[in-house]
Amino acid sequence: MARKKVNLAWIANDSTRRATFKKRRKGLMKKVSELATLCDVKAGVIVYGPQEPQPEVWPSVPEATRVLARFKSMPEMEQCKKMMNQEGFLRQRVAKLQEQLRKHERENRELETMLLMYQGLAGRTLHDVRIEDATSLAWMVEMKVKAVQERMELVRAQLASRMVEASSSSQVAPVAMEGPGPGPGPGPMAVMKEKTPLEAAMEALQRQNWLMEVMNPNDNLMFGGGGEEMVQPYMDHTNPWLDPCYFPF
Amino acid sequence: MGRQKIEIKKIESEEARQVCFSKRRAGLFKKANELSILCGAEIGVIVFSPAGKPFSFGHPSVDSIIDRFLSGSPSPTTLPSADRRMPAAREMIVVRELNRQYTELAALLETERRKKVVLEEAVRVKQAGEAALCGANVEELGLGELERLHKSLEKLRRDVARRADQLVIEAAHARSAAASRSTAPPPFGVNLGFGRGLEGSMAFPPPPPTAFGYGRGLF
Repeated sequence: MARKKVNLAWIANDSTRRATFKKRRKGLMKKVSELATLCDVKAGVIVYGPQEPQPEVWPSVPEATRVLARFKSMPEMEQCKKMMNQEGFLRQRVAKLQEQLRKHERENRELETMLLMYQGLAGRTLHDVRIEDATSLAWMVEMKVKAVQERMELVRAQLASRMVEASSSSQVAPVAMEGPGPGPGPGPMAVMKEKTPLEAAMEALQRQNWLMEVMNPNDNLMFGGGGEEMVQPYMDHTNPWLDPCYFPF
Repeated sequence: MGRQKIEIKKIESEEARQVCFSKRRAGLFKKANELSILCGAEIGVIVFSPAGKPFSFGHPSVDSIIDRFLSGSPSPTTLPSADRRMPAAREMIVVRELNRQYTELAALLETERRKKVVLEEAVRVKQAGEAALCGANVEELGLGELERLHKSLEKLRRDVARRADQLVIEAAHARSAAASRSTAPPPFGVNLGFGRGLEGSMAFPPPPPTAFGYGRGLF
């Protein structure tokens, strides 16, 4: 079986064309037969060869005629909905490729913008960024800011609820606020002021102190044994003392 | 290809049967189409789906084949008497043009595919190297990292806004230079609202939200 790609155009060479015709017609009949059996459906195929007055018909002339009749008896709309011809078929496959291409272009655009964002965050200059890239970048940065803000709120809310639990249980004692010093103080405070609903909740519970406790990894008051898995990732990463974020600028 | 050999008998599972029908019907039409193009054959194919919906393919058209068949196959009406073997000129032109478009698109697609591989690798490298900096996965960051990232992002936002404003001014300059007659001074202090984020009026349409994976954590 020849497996090289055939150019989809009329075969000019007479003998090649005749040979191809015989082979492919046979193959077509086989395929429709398989389809009809596997899927338990009715089908009919009619093929007129270029030089033949009589068509080859599957499954048989009477049977195919029945299929035709059934088809013709359906409303116009039904008949036309899934009707295809040569041109339509070729157009459809072009359209499918166009769709795939557009999808890839979109995805590549997003990846390029992502890279640009990463570079921007790392300090890359924006002098040579074109307007369309700038627009995409602005959009993506906006999305990212929102995502980060949401996450921050979530984490803070979790912290707040942890403290509620902790306080309602045993002696959570010593707001041994041994003054973690100037460090963690202003930092988280300043940031918290932006978040109104959370801030309100926190103020109401007078949790700022607790928060400062929490941010100091040296005091393991509440989180020593709790298995408070939610807070762990937070605790693991940063040493607040070294984190410039917590120090006032 | 690694396909399993299948027994040719009715597929029991209704879902599998429907899937099989979809695929094989498409394949059947493809073969019929190729036969009509390669060999200039006139063909009609009609199949009914398991649900009873009719699907048809016909060249030159389903109706012309049906008519030809039912009227006891006289010679085809469409072929010019001059050369009964070769397809009509118009048909061949259409086929050639659509094929051309197809190959062109296929080449472009291949280029984009390769580009995608390169880009994905570059992104992967960046994310692996500086995960916290680029905030690859917001979910995994600690509060400190989040706040740092937030600050960096806001700075970037300002920088981008500045660059965008600059570009707009440059464009305005170019426009007024082109319209050489105008003596209006270029606008200064133009604030297009970029600095406030995108809630303000946008001078340029933002890419549609569907362009990016909205809400995906993994940027």
